Parts: sequence; structure tokens; C-alpha cells
Amino acid sequence: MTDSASVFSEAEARPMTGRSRHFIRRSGSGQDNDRWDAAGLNLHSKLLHEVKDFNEYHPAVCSHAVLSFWDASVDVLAGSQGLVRIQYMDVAEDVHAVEREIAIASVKQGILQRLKDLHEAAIDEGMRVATASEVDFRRYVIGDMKPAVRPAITLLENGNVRALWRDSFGQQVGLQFRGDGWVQYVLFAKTYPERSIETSVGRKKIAAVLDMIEKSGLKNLIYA
Amino acid sequence: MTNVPLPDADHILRHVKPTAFDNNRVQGAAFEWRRKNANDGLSCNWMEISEGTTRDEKIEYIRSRRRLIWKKSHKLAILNVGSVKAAAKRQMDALGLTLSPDVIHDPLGADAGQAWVADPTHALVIGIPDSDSPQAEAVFDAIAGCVQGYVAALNDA
Repeated sequence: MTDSASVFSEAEARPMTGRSRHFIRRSGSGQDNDRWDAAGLNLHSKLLHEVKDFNEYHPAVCSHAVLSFWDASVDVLAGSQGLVRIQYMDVAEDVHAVEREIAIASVKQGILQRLKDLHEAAIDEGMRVATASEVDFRRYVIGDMKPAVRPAITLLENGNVRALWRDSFGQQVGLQFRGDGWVQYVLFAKTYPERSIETSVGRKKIAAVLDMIEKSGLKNLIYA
Repeated sequence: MTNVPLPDADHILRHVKPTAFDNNRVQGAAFEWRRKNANDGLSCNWMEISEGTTRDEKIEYIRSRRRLIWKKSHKLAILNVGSVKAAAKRQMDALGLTLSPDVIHDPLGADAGQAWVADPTHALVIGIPDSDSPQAEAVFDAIAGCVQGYVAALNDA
């Protein structure tokens, strides 16, 4: 099962009711329209019309290639390979919530792809990915934290996975996953009103580190 | 001229594996190192002392001296000596570490047994923590913040 299909399956588990509006993200590129046609859908012009309307109304979402349309189309379309339905909700619901869901799903896909690349690189470099580290990374970053910004993900010489979020002001959240819920953290946070960078480093359980991130005002790096 | 400090205005190259490169940036993991002896440091190459007149020629010469396996997916990070020293010092001061970072020339002789040619460009960043401590990781991140750019480790041409 591909990562895309995995995300889709989770969304698919939700009950569908009535005349709700659905948002899906096009996860592939290039030949998607061909694939829809190949699936015998013949909804090409309708989709293009919907995309045009939606993009004009919500330009920020346009970059994510968001489509929106009505219930009957969704089941068929979302079943096509390469499509991921993020969430469905009533038309009246805030579009920012949809954008956030889309961003989180997109980040999740980016993270999964990077993990896959890291595994391949590790083999090529004669390194190993520590299982306990990757399990924690998947559990806490992908499962619990659900970041809206994709961190830089690196593999350390000890086999541990490290995630790093940073901004243009020199602030950062660096988390090395050491297994059993332990994290080695390196936080650079701007102080006010001094505007200098304060460094916090150490090893703690993930819950305590997340609390530190919140108190340091660094949460925006992860969820902006 | 072993152990001579490099001028602050000069530049060093650091070899980077793909596991330490993400989001189009060289990450702190690229500066991980483990001390083998008391005089050891973070291995790098001194660009200005390399043979050649242009930057590309100097980088090509450094490529020709390599002792590790460099692959197409690898990069060479370019850093300014003065910036590395200042960033490492600033970070270590913040952490309460009393080390004095420096970048010194450490030319390597030829080793016929290993089929290695001499590498007169080799240099070391010394006076920084090594291994896997949180303090070391913070210093590596600070050094990564000094990366001015990168080039492919191997020249396709």
C-alpha cells in the first residue's frame, strides 16, 4: 500500500452523510487528469470548473491543488489512484480548518517520503536506522504532534532519527529520538525584550520537551 | 605547516552525506564527529590553499585528494572560517563550555599501503565538543547555520 493510499484509507473510515462538501488533494502530478478519464469518470470539465472557482476564491489553497465538489463525485474520484481525500465538512465550516488539514496531510506524506529516502540512503552509506528511534519518531511526530511544517529529518551516526524545525530568525526546535520516549532536544528561542537567542539543551521525556517548546514560544515553528 | 590557524577570511569545505542534507540545506548532522585522539578535530578541507586559480579548480583538486568514498548524492558544504569560529564560540558560551574553537591546517601525507595520495588541503576544526551530547548537537547546529552554500561532491563533467 502506498503512503497516499494509507492516508486515504484513514479518511475513508469516516461516515459520510448528506450533502456535505468534500476536499481532496491531488497527490500526483502530470497525468492525473488522464487517470481520471481512464477510470471512466468523464467528469473532466466539471472538475476543471470547480478547480477554477475554488482557486479564484481561495488563492492560498490553490498551491495545494485543492478540488472541491459534491458528494456523489467524491466516492468515485477519491478511489482513483493518486488522490487523497483529506476531510469532508459542511460548506459553512471555516476554510482555514480545511487548509490546516491539507497542510498536515501534505507534511505527513513529505515526512514518510523522507523516511523512505533515509532508509535507502542508510543502506547505501552502510548506516542503520535505529528501530526504537524511528518508532518514537513515527508515534510522536506523525501520530501525536501532527506538524503543519515539515521538519528537516536527518539520520545520525548512532542510527537515531532527528527532526529540526527552524525559522529565519535563528530559532529552532531540534529533537533527536532516542527510543523509549526519550528525546535529546536543542531549542534556540528568541527572548523578549532582549531579542537574543536562548539555548536550551538536554534529554527528557517527550511530554516534558513538548511542554518546554510551548513555554519557549517555539510552537509556531511546528504549527505555523 | 601543520597546526597553523587558517585566516578568518578563508573558507573550508565539509563533506556531507545525504542523510545529513534535507530541505535543501546542510543540517547539523553533517558536522558530527568523534574524537580519535587528543589532537583530533572536525575534518575539512582548506579551500584557499588548494591548487588552482578558480574556485572550481580548487574544489576539483580537493576532490582528487579524497580518502573516503564520495558519491553523486553527496555534497560539499562551503563555510567561512571566521563565521564558523564565531558561531561555535557564541554557542559554547551560551552553553557554559570553556572551549576555544579554531580551524587549523592539518596536511595529510601519502599512504602507499592505502593507495592514498597526500592531501595538503586537509584541516581540522578544533576546540568544539564531539560525539552525541546535547551540547555537541547544539554546536553542530550553530555551525550548520554558517553554511554559505554547497556543491556536488563529485563533478559530473
